[in-house]
Amino acid sequence: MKKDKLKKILFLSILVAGAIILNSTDIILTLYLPYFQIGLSHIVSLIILYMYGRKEMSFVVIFKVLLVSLIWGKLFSPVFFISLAGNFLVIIFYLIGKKHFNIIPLSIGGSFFNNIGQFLIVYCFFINNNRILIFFSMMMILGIVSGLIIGYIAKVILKKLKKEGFYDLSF
Amino acid sequence: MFKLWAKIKYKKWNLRDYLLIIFILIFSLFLFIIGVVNEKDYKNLVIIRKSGSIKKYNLDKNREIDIGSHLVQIKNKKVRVVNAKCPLKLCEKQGWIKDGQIICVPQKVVVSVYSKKDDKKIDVMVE
Repeated sequence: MKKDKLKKILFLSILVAGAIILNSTDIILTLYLPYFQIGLSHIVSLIILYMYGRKEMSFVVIFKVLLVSLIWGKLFSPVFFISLAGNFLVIIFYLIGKKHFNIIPLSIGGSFFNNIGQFLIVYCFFINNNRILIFFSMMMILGIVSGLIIGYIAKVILKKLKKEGFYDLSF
Repeated sequence: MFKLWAKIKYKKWNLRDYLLIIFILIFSLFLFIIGVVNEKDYKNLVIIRKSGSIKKYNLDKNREIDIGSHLVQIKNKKVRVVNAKCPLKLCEKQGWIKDGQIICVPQKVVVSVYSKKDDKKIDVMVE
């Protein structure tokens, strides 16, 4: 029992580190492409959601946001609150939608709700202007593509983990 | 041994899954159309923002607007600022502008000018 708990904590911390590295890679890849990110770190959150459960997933996502903003020096800046709101809505959507949706639509909906959360924060606190609507709608359409890619990668990794015997499930 | 792992059951795509994606597409296209329609309002317009208050004026009408710290002049579809009560008077030095913004940092005033974007006339053709 104790060994299992230790194993779980170790594996979760490795996955948090992986999420941080993927998110930083995302930031570096889209450095010259402002306002757009692929959302690579949600591969990790989808894998944890299917391998462990809801509680662990929300824990990892919140920690990822805090640590990434701490590493990049954006803690308690506007960017931090925007990304926190987006990730918060993603967590809520994953928690509710895991029962109802398949993995790829789940990831597409996650990217959509990420954009919705960011839009609400930006519209309420920073840019109170209707002209950002056209911009955010483009982001949502692009988010469908990136959500499809992320969901597909997460599905492939989950299948591979099952094949290697990491978990004894019928995926 | 691994009791911690949750169970996954791989399902085929339901009707719900397709409906979610279609809903997202329709919603974002709807927002896009609202944005495009809204964009048409930003033509021939002067917007003056001063410490939270937003006022809109037509660009076609020649007039002078007194906003306390500045006097904004609109003439022949051009806009300038005179009588600035700030030390450097950078906003005055910008002169007449057709499209863009005049920003006064000490008084927290932003004057944005949106002229018609479709009147791009060709100056010279060279063969």
